[in-house]
Amino acid sequence: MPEQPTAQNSKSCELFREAPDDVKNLIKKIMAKERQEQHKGNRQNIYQDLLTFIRESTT
Amino acid sequence: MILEKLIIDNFRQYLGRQEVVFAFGKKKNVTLIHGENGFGKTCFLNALLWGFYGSDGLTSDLPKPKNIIPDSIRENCADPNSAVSSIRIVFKHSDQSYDLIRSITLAEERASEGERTKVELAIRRTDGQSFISEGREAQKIIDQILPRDLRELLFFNGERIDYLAMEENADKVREAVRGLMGLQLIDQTLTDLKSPGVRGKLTREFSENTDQETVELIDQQNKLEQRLESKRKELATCRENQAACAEALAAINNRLDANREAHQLQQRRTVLKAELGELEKSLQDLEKRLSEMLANDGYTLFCEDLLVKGKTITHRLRAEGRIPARVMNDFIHDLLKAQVCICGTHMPEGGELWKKVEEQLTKAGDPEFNRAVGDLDKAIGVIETCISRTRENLGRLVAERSGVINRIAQVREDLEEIKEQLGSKDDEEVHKLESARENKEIERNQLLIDEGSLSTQITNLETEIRTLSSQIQTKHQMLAQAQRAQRRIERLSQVISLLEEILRLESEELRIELGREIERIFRSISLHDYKLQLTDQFTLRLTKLIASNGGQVAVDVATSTGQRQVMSLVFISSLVALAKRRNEIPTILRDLQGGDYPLVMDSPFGQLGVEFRASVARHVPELAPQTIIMVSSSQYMGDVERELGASNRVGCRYILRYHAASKRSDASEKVVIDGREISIYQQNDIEQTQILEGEL
Repeated sequence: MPEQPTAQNSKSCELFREAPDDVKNLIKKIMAKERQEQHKGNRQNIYQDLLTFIRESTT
Repeated sequence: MILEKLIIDNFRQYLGRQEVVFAFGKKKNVTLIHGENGFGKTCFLNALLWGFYGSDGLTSDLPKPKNIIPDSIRENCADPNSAVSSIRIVFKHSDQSYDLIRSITLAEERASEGERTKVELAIRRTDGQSFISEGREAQKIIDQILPRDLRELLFFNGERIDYLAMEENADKVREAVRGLMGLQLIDQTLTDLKSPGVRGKLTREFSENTDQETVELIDQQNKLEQRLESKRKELATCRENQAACAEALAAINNRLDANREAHQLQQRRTVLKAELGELEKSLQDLEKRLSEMLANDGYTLFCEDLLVKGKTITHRLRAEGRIPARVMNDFIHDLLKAQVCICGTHMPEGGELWKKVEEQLTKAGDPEFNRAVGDLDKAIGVIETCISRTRENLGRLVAERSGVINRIAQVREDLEEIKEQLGSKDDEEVHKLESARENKEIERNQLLIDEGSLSTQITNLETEIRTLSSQIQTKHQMLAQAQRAQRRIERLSQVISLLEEILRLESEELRIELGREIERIFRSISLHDYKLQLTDQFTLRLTKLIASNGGQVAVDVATSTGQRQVMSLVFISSLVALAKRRNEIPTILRDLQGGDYPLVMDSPFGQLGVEFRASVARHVPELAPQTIIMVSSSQYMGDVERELGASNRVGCRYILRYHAASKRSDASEKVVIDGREISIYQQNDIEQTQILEGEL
C-alpha cells in the first residue's frame, strides 16, 4: 500500500513528516481508501468513507 | 503495461481473424510492422486504440471513423446482428494479466446515438484470483491503467507528434507528467475532498447547527474564500507568466548578444542593467535608513523653540532662588507634625512659634518639582546634542540618496540611448529582437504591477476572512455541535492545503528529474551542439551553442517539424523511462502508478531529417521497455534498417499485404526486407489487409 513517507529526502516528504500526527494519519487513511477505490466510477461510497475518517479524527 | 497479443476479427480493412504477438523482454523488445502507405498501418494503430477506448480513442486522421464493420461485410450482410467486429488485447500491468475484448455488431454500429460497443475485461490478479468486469466498470479500469490523456503519448502517428514541442502545449506536457507518474491519485483525492459530498456536507452540518445571522456570516466567509482561491490562482498564473517573460527576455538578450551588429551595445546594456539593479537596491536601503532615522530622531528637529522656552524657565527659577531649594517643604511638615522646632523648642499646634514655622512652607521648595526641573535640564542637554547629530545624518543620507537618484537617471538615460541605437540599426534581426525585447519589458512591468495589486487584494481578503472567522467562532462558543462541525471543516482544510502543496512540490520534483532524463536522452541521439531542456513552464526548449567572443552562447533555435518531432519523441521516451523507475523517486505515496509502458509508433521516421534518422533508429529499442513500430519501405531502407538490424533487438516482424482493385502510386508491389523479396500487393476486388508473419 502507499501512504508511508519514503526515507529519501525530498521537500514533499519533509513537508509531510513535519505535519501534525493526526493530520498525517488522516491523510494516510484517505489515500489508502482512494488507492483501493481507484478503479471505481461511482464515488458516493468513497465520499461516505472519507467523511467517516474526518469525523473520527476530530471527535 | 506490456502488450502481449492483439487479435483482430473483422476490423475495417482487416477481414477475418488475424493475430499478432508482440515482442517484449529485455533482449528483444521491438516489434516491426512493415506496411506501405495506404496498406493499413494507421488502421492497425487504430485497432489497438479502438480496443482500449472505442470510437473515442480513434485518431483524427482515420477516414469514416464510424465504420468499424468491414465495407465488404456491411454491403452484403442480411442480418445486421450477425455481423460482428471485435478486437481482443491481452496485456499485463503491475503483475496482473488482462484480457480485453471489445466488439460491435452492424446493428449497433448503425444506431445513431452514443457508443454501442460491448466491453469485457477479464483480470487475473497476482494472488491467482480472476474476475470479469463489463461495460462501464471495465472501461473505468482501462481508463485508470491507461488514462485517455496518455493515449496520444503512447500510441501515436510519428509524423504528427511535433505539437508537444510547441510552447502552447505546455499544459498537455504538465498533465502528461502527472498522469504517467501517478500523481492523478492526489488530484482525484483533492477533487473528492472538495466535492459537495464531503466538504459540502460538512459545511451543511455546520450551517444546520447555527442561527440565521451566523449562516449569513458563514455564507459571506465562503464567498470570500472562493474569491481568495481565485485571486491566488491569478497570482500563481501571474508569477508563471513573469517567469516565462523573464525566460523569453533572457533568450532575446542572448540572441542580441550573439549578433555581431548588436553585441557591443548589448554587452554595455548588460553592465548597465546590473548597475541599475544595484543602484535600485541601494536606493531602497537608503530610503529605509532615512525613514528609520526620521522615525527615531526626526522629532528633535522640531524642538528648538521648545528648548529655548525650557531654558528660559529654568534660568528664571534659578535666578529667583527657587531651584535648587534650600529647605524642602516635607522637612517643615515633619517639624509641624512633631510640634518641635529645629532648635528643639516645643511648639504647640496653633501657637505663635508653630505658626511662624508654618509660614516657612511658602518659601520652602517641593522635592518633586526640584527633581522635574533637574530632569528637564538633562533632557534639554540630550536633545541639543541629538539635534546636531540628526541634522548631520539627515544631510548625509539625503545627499547620498540624491547621488543614487541622479546616477539611476543617468543609467536609465544611457539604456534608453542603447535602445534607440539598436532600434535604428539597419540589421533586420536586431530590429526585430529589439522590438520583441521592448514588448517583453512592457509585459514584465505590467505583470509586476499586477502581482503587487493581487498580493494586496489577497492580504485584504485574508484579513477579512480572519475577522469573519473570529466573529463566527465567538457566536458558536456555546454550540458544541457547531463547534465540532467547524473543527471538522478546519481539519479538512488542513488536509487539502497540505495535499495541494505536496502535489505542487512533487510535480516540480518530477519536472526536474524529467528535465535531466530529457537532456540525457537527447544528448545520446542528437548532434553535440544542440541542447534540449524542459523549462520551468513545462515547455521544451531547443538551443544551439554558437561561438561568441571566444566563448559559447546558447541561442534558441527556430525549430523545423522534423526537429520538433525528435523533441517530442525524446520527451515521450524520457517520460516512459522515468515511469519505469518511478519507485526510486521520492514521494509521500509509495507504489504509485508507473512501471512499464509500451510505445506504439506509426511512421516515427517519416519527417526526420538525415541528421536524426540514424541516431533515432539506433536508440529506438532503448526508448521504452516495449516498442512497436510501423514503417513503410521508403522509411525503413537504409539507415533505419541498418541500425535496427545492428541493435539485434527486433523480436517480431509482420508484413501488411494489401488486397484491392488498385493501390497508391507511391506504394510498391514487392519489398526487399533484410535481403528477402516479399510480395505485398495483390489485385483483388475485395479490399482487405492481411497480416503476414515475417522472418527475422
